[in-house]
Amino acid sequence: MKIVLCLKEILDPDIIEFDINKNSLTSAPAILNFPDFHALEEALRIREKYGGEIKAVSVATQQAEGGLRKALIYGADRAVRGWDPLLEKADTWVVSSALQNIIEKENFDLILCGCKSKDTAGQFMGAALASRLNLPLVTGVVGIDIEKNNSCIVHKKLEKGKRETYSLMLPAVLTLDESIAKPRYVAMFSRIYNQGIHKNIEVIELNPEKIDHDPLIERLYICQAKPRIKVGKKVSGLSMMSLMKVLRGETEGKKELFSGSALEGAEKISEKIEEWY
Amino acid sequence: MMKLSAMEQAVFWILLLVGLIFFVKRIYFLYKSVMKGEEDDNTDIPEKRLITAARDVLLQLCNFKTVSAGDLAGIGHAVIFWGFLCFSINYIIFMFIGDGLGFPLRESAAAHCFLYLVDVAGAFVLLAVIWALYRRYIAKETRLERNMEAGAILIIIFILISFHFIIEGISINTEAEPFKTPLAGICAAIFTSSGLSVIQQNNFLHAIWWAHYLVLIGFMVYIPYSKHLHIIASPFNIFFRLSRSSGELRYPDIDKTEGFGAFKVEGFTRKQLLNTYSCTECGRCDINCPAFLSGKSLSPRKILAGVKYDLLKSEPGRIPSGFAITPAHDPEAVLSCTTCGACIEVCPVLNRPMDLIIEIRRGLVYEGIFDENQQDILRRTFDYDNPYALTPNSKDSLLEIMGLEKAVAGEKYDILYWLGCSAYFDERTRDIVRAVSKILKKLNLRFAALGEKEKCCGDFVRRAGDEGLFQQLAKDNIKAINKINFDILLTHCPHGYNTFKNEYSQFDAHLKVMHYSEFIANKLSQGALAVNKTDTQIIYHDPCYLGRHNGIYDFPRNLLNHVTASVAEFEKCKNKSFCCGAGGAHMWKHEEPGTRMNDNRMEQACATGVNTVATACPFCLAMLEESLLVKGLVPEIRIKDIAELVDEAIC
Repeated sequence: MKIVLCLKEILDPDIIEFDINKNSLTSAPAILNFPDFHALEEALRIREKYGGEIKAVSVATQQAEGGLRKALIYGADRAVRGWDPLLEKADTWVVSSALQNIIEKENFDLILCGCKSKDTAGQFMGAALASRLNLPLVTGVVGIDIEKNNSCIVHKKLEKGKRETYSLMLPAVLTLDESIAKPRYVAMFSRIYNQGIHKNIEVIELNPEKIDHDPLIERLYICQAKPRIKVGKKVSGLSMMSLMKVLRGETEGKKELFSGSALEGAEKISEKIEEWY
Repeated sequence: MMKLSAMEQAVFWILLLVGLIFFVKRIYFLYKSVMKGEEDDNTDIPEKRLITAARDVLLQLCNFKTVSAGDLAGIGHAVIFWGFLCFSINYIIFMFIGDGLGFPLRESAAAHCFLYLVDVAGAFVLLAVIWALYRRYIAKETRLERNMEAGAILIIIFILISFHFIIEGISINTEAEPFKTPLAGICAAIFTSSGLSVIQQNNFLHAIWWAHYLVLIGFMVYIPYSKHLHIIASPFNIFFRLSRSSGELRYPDIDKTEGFGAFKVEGFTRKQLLNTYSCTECGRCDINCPAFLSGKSLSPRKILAGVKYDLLKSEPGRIPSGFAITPAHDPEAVLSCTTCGACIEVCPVLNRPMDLIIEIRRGLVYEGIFDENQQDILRRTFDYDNPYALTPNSKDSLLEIMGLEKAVAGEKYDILYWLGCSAYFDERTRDIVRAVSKILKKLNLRFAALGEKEKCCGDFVRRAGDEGLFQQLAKDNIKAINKINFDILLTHCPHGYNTFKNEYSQFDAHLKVMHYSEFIANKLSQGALAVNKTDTQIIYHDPCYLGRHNGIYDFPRNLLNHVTASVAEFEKCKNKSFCCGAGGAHMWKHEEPGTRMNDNRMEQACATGVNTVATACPFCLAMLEESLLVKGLVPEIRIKDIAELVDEAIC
């Protein structure tokens, strides 16, 4: 099973903030996009189960190759990075063309993407790539079973936890939901880390002529988040003792149980409400 | 004195030579195996080491430290040790030189004195061996295993000594001018009264003498193959004792060496491998291990036995060298250690089973074998620099809520107060911070906290085996601390205290760190703080990382003595303290199957009938309170930090 894994490095959404004075985002450490991280874990699990090879690919500058390095550290076999200066302000559609250029050179059975990036949240890359490569696509996948006759069964998550199951021929593009697999932890200087840290990240010179440079969309500006009305009880600052109480329903609010018919119950409740206010 | 013919003498020496060849070969193999390990820094000042080792071994000091009212076995051990020492000298002088070479050595007054001593010693050894057999097989002491090996060793000693008495007894009857020692005299009388002729007795003497000799040679060969190897290894183990505190773990240079930890037996240090030889499976570590006592699969003794098995069986041609699966490498057992250090405290041969467990944990992390829980907390710590996944912003905002000053470079502070991750997360721990900062304000000291720059001190990370992450966190923290100008680094968490005091020195950071118990106790004795003394009875629970690992037993008690008129003690107190169950990353982990350690400790507290339990560690506080809450044991019991008690008592 030859897997191509598309990765993106983003600025840590937990740390990044909107700077009102400069009207732009503050700087933050770059990390691997979370859904891509989960996709990496799923790729590793597929390789453990069915054998094969994992190639991590990314359209990124040299500064943003940390995601690829992380993939290597976690056990990816190869990492390929392609970049062209013309891609500086490209939208997803243009980047997908660049990715297509990189991937076409590879031999693959499966293309895995994270279902969305945590910064732009476009959810579009997988679809764009499938369309450009003319491959079947399933989005929001939560389970992959590889079948013998060069096909696979995938499970997709719908609303309210419903599942849909598809069968599709390989090669195919799958965008993976975060719930597909919980990423493992690779400790620094551990055996697998040491193997990955010394691997080379292959750099591909992209031919600008081959890239489709017509963007579909254009970003106008970025603005501050709308203030959110906070409701409920803040639990993050509670002690373990009070947290246990909340979990067991022993909050400070009064609790009373009424028995009897619905009408009697309603009367009692209205009495209580009157009592309180 | 046995008169051997020339033929018999030849057989005697050939047998000894054969025995010695087997013995030396085995010892050489054991030496080679131990030298596979990594070096450790425990060879400095050899002459001083020699003196202390000789003192501790010959006077049995290491052994006597384990003797308590409930466990008198150490006395029996000392008797057998001294007795067998006499016998060894007796064998060399009278058997090998006297009988083997035919020198008449038994006639001098000195020899008579010595034979008398051997006679008395033999009597004591016999009694001690009978006591040992009784304890092991009839009283069925829990810490002792009832296996063949242990019984065989005791019975061989018994046979050797009784044969000695029979030989001495018959010699008195057959010799012309016998020297009569008391117990041998009784034997002689028995043989005389049995009605055997002198010739018959002489023949019997020959048979018994040879049997005795064969058992002796056999025992010599058997020793290095059995757990009785400890009689050879433990003096070396005591000689190569580690000077560092048990709270300080070995520093592996991960940048230079390929891999860290015991992912193969070569990953242990030589001292740790020598520990496995020195272990005589007395089981003291087991019956003091909180994990073992609460029904986990961990047994420090089995860890050592497992590592020894790995080491000795991983020779070429046998099980391949590497990560062999033995009981020592059962991840669940290894991960259930709370690193409380009880096993180190009680070991009579100065073994450090906890260090081996940590090395195995490092090996597991190196190989990527994790408990799911452990994996989660390590990843959280890797991503957020703290096990609670707190963002740097939230740490700063907490300082504002608590009204603490944020430390900035260029200012001079009396105290840099290290809050620790749990204070940033847990409301209950903040009570300690409130109390401590109130006391510090009362003392008119300028203090500040690091806020967002403060990362996990790395205590649990290192104990979970993730050496790479620990070293990164330590270096980052040192960088942050060095920017601040302060006199004392104050912590309220014994884990942080231990890490700063013992482990950060491995990165050339020699911090003047103080635990608040020491700081406040000093201020109270100086009279800088005035407190009202009450008569509430308070019982003090010793946190492992304050007590056992750093020897701070008296400061918290002094402090409590200022606050209250009566300080009670647990049955298991001071260096025998029972771990609350939070150490070694267990604060954030599910406890392995078995009863819960904090419940065990809380039951011990309830049994004392004291209603205020004081402790000096935020983790102990959380664990004990949790047990109280979940089990709903005694509602009137309250768990308090010592700082809170001082804060309550300030006038």
